[in-house]
Amino acid sequence: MVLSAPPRSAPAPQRPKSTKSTGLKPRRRIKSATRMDAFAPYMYIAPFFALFAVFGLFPTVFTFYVALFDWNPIGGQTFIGLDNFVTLYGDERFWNAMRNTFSIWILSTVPQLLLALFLAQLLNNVRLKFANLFRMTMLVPYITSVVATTIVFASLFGRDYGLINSFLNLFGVQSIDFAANTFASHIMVSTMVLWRWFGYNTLIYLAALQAIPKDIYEAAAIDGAGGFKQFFYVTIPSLRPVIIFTIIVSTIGGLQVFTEPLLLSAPGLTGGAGRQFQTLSLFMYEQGFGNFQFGYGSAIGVTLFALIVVFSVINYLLSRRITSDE
Amino acid sequence: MTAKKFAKSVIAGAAALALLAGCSGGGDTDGKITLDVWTFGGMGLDEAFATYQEENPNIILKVTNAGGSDEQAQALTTALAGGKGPDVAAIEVGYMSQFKAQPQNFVDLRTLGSDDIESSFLDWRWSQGVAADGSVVGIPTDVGGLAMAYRTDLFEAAGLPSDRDEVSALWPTWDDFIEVGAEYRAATGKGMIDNVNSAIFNPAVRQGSEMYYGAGGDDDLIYDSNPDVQEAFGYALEAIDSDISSRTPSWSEAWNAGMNNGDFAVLAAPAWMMTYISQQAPDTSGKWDIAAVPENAGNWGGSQLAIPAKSDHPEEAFAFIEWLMSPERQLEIFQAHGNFPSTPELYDTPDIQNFTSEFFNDAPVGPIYANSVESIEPIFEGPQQRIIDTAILNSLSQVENGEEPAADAWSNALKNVKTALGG
Amino acid sequence: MTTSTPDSVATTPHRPLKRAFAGRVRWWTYAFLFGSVLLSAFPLYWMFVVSTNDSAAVSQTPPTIVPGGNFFVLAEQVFTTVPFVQSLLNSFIVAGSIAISQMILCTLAGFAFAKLEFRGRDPLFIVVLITMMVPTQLAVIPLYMIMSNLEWIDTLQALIVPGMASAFGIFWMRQHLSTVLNNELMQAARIDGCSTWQIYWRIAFPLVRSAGFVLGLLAFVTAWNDFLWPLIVIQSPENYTVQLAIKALQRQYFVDYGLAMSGSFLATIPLLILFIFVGRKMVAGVMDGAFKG
Repeated sequence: MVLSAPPRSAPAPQRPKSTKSTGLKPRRRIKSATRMDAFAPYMYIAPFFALFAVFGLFPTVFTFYVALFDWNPIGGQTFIGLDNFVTLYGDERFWNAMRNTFSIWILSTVPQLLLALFLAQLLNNVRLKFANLFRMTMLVPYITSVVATTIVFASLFGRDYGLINSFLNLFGVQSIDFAANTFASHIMVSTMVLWRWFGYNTLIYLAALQAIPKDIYEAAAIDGAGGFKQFFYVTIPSLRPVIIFTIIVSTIGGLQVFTEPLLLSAPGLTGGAGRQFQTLSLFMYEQGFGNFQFGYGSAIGVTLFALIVVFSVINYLLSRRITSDE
Repeated sequence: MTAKKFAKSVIAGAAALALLAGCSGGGDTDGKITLDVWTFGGMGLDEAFATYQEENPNIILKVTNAGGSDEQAQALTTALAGGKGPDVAAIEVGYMSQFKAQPQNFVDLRTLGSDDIESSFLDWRWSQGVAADGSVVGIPTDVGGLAMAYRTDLFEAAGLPSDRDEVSALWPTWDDFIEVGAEYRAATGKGMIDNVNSAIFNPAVRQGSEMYYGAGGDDDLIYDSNPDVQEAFGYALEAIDSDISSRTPSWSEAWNAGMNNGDFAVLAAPAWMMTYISQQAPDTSGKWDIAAVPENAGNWGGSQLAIPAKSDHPEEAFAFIEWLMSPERQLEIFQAHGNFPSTPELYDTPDIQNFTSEFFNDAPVGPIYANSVESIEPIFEGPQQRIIDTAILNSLSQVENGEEPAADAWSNALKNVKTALGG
Repeated sequence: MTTSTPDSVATTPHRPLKRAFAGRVRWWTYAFLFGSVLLSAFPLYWMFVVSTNDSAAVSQTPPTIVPGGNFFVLAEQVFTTVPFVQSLLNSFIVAGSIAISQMILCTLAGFAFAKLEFRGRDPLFIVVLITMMVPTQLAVIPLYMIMSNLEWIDTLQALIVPGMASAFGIFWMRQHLSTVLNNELMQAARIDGCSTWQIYWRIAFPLVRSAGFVLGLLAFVTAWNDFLWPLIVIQSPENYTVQLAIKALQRQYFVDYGLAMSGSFLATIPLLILFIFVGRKMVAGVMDGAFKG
């Protein structure tokens, strides 16, 4: 369950207009008819919760517990209370990983969503030919494994023999050592994330675009609004909830970027010699599995979890405010 | 209730909730014993395993190659943490100090008779498998040894001598080595070595009798005061300053390609690397040769074979290790794969003394490696060895890549080590 | 919301609605869209180029960018170096079981959360939501300890069972069911004397079959591409999933990028073939996720 949830493919937000029966409390409830039926709901959710209790909840709660210990996975365990957290918040490497994570998140999310918005706009036209081809190829990156993707991109971004540098050389630009430089390495990782998800987000935007009634545009056109004005005054406001949703989903995914930096980092788990592309989850993995400091690694995990919860709450509040605004 | 007890009871409860019954694996069939053996890539043991299997029909060897040594160490960590483990586990020397700091996870091989075979191994190599409490955690496999592999054609093109004795004579010390690199740069415009970490710091720092830990044991950290460490660090910085490196990280795609394309001309080559080079750069056969490493000694790599405490068949496992790492077997492995034996009794035999490599221009690699490993002194490696090493090497890479000024390198390195140890 | 069949929405992705935009398509629209097709497909193409050339060809300046004739040489090496066929089979078993099981279990639980009233429903659903936020790497060691206690280490069920139900799947199915199955319909069914199970099986399930299928597809792809957990829990080559097989091709001491790329390419082919048949459904599913909610 935890391990197999598609990390970034959570479904979209509640659209403001359709408030119908999507909240936790439906407007009307149907009384259960029989005793058997009263028990039935539990039967339906039992398989999930049984699996979840063993393979999801327990490991998670256990991690919170481990975070309170100096815990060597193959050695002894000493209870140290919140010491791991105190050390962590004074640890330069933690803040470095935090900076990297957010930098990679911004570098991948902003261009990705702009690109997706732009492509969705292009796709949103019934007269477009090959529409299905376009939509389908955009999902190809999503089905390509991260392992394969990383091997390919690592080779494309290579300093001496990478295709991208060969291309840059054509224009007289000196080869860039993408893996060594902090900013360049963030661009490299971000590109992988962007490549993987831009098509997915394009489709989400496209769906939202198709839901905007045409008469709003017609009304705007009568008021004298041109293409650009229509885009900014009609399209963007209508898409606002979806855009916020994609930003938050990208954040939750972005906070957990792991496999790309892990594979780029090999051999070693530091994410480059200067830890220049070590993300929070890689830092957690390095401490836990590389350095046998499982308590410390768990403290990083718990912090990461807290960050994700905070962002999700912000998401919830923002989309609520926007919904009530309209 | 202790943490461990609590964990155990919770896990037991959670496991009871599981819907499906587990099917246990690895049972013994027909009175045969299955030995679970975990290795990693490039250990060159496959033929030896096959031979053993043939000679011992009552034992089933179940060999698992975990990938690289990093993956292997992580797999072993999770296995031991979960209270499991194979019967025989290979541990790369870099990870050895971390594992032997928790000797309770392994069978003390003295109880199985390791004292009887200790004398046939190199002292310093044997000590890498001995824990602080004196228990023997792992039996040495091969020894890396160290020599400098160099490209004769590129040396000639740079106007340098290309004969192996003359090349060895060019660099009796690290200062000389760096000077040759500077000449090479002046003549060709290229870097002579692949990178300063593997070509200079790694061999240089291991040429003393102490490294990051003093004689006082696990808590006696001397990485910041040991002049040997600072000296090796200084050589690396000097090499960067003289621009003798092609800045090609080891194990990268560019590194493999660079061996073929001549992006660098010198490579610190432990014995097992000979096979690697010949596989990566088959077109350069005969263009490589082997010279001595400056200061004449060094080691890179090797591993220990350990028996996790949870093994059901420690005696059979030990008998297997004893057989596998006997001098005769090690010689066979060396002849087939280039992994150099850790048993010095072989070094004076004609098998080693007359051993040459065709790929390396018929260099007498046998005596060269024997010479390199015999002059090594045992170095005590504490539990944080690898973490300290990583922090220092990373600081050097940062300077080499132009990401940090050389002037701050040492203080940065110390700061990084401190953070890593404090965390 | 109308009760128009959601199935049609999912099978033919968003048939032009009356309100859809229908302007003139300019040439640069096609230019940009073909550009994005190239962007999406290039890494795959590059994988193919590298896996058909020998390594010398791609490590020269400038590197070759056309496929060579070396494909079968490398492909054969892939099959002989690692148990590739076995790993493909394992991946199919694992991803297939997870997909089927998620379709069933998540539809069931999603139905209960969307349409049934029972004590503790809302807190339990919040638990489901929170589960979705747990970083995957967080729980790895405790999970390993459980597997070890069950003696499941190095078995395929260690990969399958934890993935059999997903919080995401429940969330997804609940969203679909709460939109599709309106209360009037349910009440009508009740008046007709349908039991809860009958409502689920006769009414709810057929309505969300398509969404369930998409969930299965997403689960399949995710399981197929999962890397970290198999890396930790699987040890024997005969139990490798295809991702582990690729990783094994990249062994530390004998790195061969041509081989690794060739393996990556071969590992992607089955998913590509699957995608050719169900790609439209997936596109519809992804768009549907945004549409409903």
